Amino acid sequence: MRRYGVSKYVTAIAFLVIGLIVGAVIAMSSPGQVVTTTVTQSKVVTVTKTITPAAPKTTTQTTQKPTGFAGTIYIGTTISLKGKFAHEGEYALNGFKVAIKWLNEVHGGIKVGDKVYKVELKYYDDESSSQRVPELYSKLITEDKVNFLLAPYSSGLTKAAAPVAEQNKIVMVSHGGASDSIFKQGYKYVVQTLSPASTYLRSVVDLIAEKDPNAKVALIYENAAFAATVAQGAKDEIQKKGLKLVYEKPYEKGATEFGSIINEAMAAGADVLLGGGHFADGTALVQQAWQLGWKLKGIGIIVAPALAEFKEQLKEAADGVMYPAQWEIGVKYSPEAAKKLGIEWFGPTNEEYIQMYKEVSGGGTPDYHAAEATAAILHLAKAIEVAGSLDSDAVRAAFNKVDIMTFFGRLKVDPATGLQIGHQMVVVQWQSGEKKIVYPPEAAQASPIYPAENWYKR
Amino acid sequence: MDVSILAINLVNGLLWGIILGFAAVGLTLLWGVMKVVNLAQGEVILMGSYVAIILFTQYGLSPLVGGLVALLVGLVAGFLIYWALLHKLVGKVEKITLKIEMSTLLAMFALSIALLNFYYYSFGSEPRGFGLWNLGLPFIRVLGTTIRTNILLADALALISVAVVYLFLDRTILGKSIRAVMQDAQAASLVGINPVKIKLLTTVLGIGLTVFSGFMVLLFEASVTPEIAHKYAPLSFVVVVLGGLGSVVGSLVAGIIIGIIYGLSKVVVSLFNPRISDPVALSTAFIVLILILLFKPEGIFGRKR
Amino acid sequence: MAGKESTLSHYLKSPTLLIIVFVVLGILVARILGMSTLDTLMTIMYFMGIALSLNIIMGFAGYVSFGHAVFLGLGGYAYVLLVYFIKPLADLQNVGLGLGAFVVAVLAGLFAAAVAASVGAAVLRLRGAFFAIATIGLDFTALYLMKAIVPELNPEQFFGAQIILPADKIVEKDIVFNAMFLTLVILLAVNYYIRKSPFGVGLTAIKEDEDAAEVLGVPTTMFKIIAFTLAGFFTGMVGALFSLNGGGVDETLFNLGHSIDMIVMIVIGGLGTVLGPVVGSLIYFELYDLLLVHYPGVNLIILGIIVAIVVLFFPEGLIGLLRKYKVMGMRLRDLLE
Repeated sequence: MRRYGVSKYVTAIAFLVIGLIVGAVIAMSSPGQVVTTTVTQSKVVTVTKTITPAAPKTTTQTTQKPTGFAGTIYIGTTISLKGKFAHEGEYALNGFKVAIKWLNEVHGGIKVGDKVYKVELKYYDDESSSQRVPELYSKLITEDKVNFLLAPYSSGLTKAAAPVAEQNKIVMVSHGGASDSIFKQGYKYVVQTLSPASTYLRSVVDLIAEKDPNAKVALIYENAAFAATVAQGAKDEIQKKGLKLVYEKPYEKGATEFGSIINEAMAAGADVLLGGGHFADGTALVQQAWQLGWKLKGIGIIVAPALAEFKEQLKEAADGVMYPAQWEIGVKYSPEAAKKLGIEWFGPTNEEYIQMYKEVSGGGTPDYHAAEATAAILHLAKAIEVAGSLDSDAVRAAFNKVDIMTFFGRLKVDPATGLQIGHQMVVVQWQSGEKKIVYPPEAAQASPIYPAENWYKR
Repeated sequence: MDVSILAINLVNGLLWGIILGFAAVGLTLLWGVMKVVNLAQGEVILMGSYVAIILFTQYGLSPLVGGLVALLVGLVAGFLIYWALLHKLVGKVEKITLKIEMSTLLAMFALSIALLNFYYYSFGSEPRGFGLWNLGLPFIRVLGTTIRTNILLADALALISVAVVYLFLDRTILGKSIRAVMQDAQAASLVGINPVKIKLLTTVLGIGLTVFSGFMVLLFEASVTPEIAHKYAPLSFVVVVLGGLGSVVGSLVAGIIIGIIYGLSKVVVSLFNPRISDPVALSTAFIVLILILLFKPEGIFGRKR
Repeated sequence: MAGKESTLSHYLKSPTLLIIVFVVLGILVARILGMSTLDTLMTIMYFMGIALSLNIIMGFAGYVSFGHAVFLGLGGYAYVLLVYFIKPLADLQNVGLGLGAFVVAVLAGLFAAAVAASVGAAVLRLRGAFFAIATIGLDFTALYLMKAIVPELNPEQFFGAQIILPADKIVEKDIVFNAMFLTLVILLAVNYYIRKSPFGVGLTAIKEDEDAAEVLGVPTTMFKIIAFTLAGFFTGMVGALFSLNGGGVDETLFNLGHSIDMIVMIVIGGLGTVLGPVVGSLIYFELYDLLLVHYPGVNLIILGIIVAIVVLFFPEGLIGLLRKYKVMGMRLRDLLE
């Protein structure tokens, strides 16, 4: 062996320093072994995390068993508590908890025939990894013997879970997988609660067509399954409404520099920008459209503007930007509206929902990820009641008959594919630094600002 | 063909190419002088971006100050990387064998895993940048193309830096000894050049420049995510191979060539199928890489080996 | 080589072979007794499979293919496209308890192998870092071309480069398991055979000093191409079955992250041995899980540091380290392969 002299010590010290830093970081983020959360005044829900090296983490929720239940319906799912969907996962988990609380305590359990069942959720943390998902869903089915499944968050993970549900013939309700293509593969047991991706920009296009039939649209979107499906839906609607599509361009995943794309769109004379993909690229697209002085009458971007960070990063450029939302605080779906449409109301009202969410989450406010999650369980519960059976085939058939209104909106699936066709997206616009629902008129809090003054007259 | 579209893509390709070329200068020095391929190239670039971002968002310092601090941080990082990783592997070795080369690859590779995930952990996958900051004028119009002034600033800084590095290597004694080691390490040590000192200097310079280029990359991209590492690292390899190992000017020229090929191929493919123009244009850079490796592995500015 | 009988008895005395047999039996027993879910076993077999595939070129011949994920992606896309568009192949999957799926995976593997052979003939002239960079270039070329081609094949269904297999084209988990298991057993046998054969000796000579090997009469070019093609073939097969298990494929299969997995497993286990990748993949699987559960967020930072320590201080990996020692008077070097 050669002698390394001083370098050996520098190496050792460097590793020691790195080790110390990592150690400090770990100490800060060390996951608790047992987390206890108080959910209601009377009952204590204990969330126990048993951590074993090889096996994934199991989490079970136990509530005091109220009397009069004939049994328990177990609903299985994975939630992204770590990784890139951790933020969405936390909201979804709270959303699930609200639905279960409402079903067990307010609704008095799920009525199956003449019996009443309690509902319980069993879940694992999928770490936002599509590679973990099949393994965990098999586990839920074979070891935990769950009766029904909820899909994980995001289209990618839902895609990974769908074959498992299909192979085991168990109904799976999707609350965060918007891609249409999952439902066009002939899977029989997957149904959707949220609006599919193809409808995301439809309401935005409708709004623009009403305000400005001569709008010249540029469609700039991420070249990935979700955004491309959104764009396809928008294109169809643009054609239907007779708007002009003057520029169309998919960009690569992870793109943040849009110089030539925006220049080309400006050269094509576009005055409306539609598209986006994820948070990073959507924000960058709007930022550079602003910095390059693009005069736009309307801007409709998916995903990015819904987050508060969008406003923080873009400041005055955020105003005027519209985005489609599955749900937003302030939507006006109510039992009265349901009566007007002649369909049944199910679940808590919007006010009750926000109140219950606050209790469950310890003071938080729900976002659309939470609302989707809650709605998915309500949707499933209604289908079970209609079926009057715990058999997956019967429940899947019952989904075709369910047409209800919830705080989340109307829920109704396409019998053949399980795609959501009842629910409608709302359009939200940033106005003077605040989110306002501007479309459809029956749900609106404010009227849309079109053309966007700060973007067009500068 | 629409001429304005061609102009837009050529101008943007050129502006990007200069950044790309400068980002690869540090890599080409390390590879040329020490035969160390910095597989953590993308992550090292990001170091500069994040240093400037932290100073801007947390301490409210001007991005221009942030860029300068990024350069200093880069020089220190180079020093640490040399003593912690490289010295043990290549410090005292006169002839780099394939085995040692593999070890350095793996060591730099380990650094890249650790750094990349450190960024994910500390900064998340959200984009970060200077927001709407600019030098008072957000954009100007040149040749029918609207350009953000931040990009022009980045390009100007990159060109100046390349010139300074070139003069340093060409005119100063230290620079000349670096070039001597690059050409023939054994002969250089015979005439009294201390190879360890030169290797240390090269690493400090190479890593420092790469970190500094992260500032330009940030100005150009407007915002960065850890993902950017996977875009710039492979492209830097292409630039270095095309430009020739160790050639600073070659690196700049190669960057510009890649940028322009990218812009051109986008325009050409768009004529046939605009939907696929982006992926095809991105693949051209790598097709160029493989072709160069096969037919002219010494690159356009490199010496025959 | 010795005569048939003595070769056989030599094999039986080898603990390497015994360990391999134990690992294989272990997976089978776990499967039959239902000790672990099928998907967990699939993950283990997937890790072991990609490590053993890359081992053929990286471990034995010393050519580090940093872009080896390209073959994972090519195999995955080939498989999914084959069963998507060719009805008989989709039906074939269900034949013979996994044998059918295995055959389709062989077809997908052959596609990857064809690319490996044709590209290998060119890029294997390059050495060291240049080869590594060239394979990264190959990976990105394939990735972007796939992104350009796939959506055009079926614009109504394939968005981005994602393909989801329809319900009637996915198969029972048992079938995927059986096919993957068969692939793994063959892969182990191939690795072991190469290690013992003159071909393997030739590859090792290339690793030690390629010019000297050439002088000594080793047909280096041919050996390298064969090794690279085999590595591509098996990586493609594993990628194919992995995609079938996931019910589809997307561009993330080309991620250099998969190359990282393979290389790290081999480095931890030990370069140039058969046991190295096997042990390395088991350690990696456990480590990955352990770090993920206990230190989410920083797990990969720790992994990077572990790799750095292994490279700097234990460059031979675990098996390489063990081979230095004697147990009961026997040199482990002679026993562990």
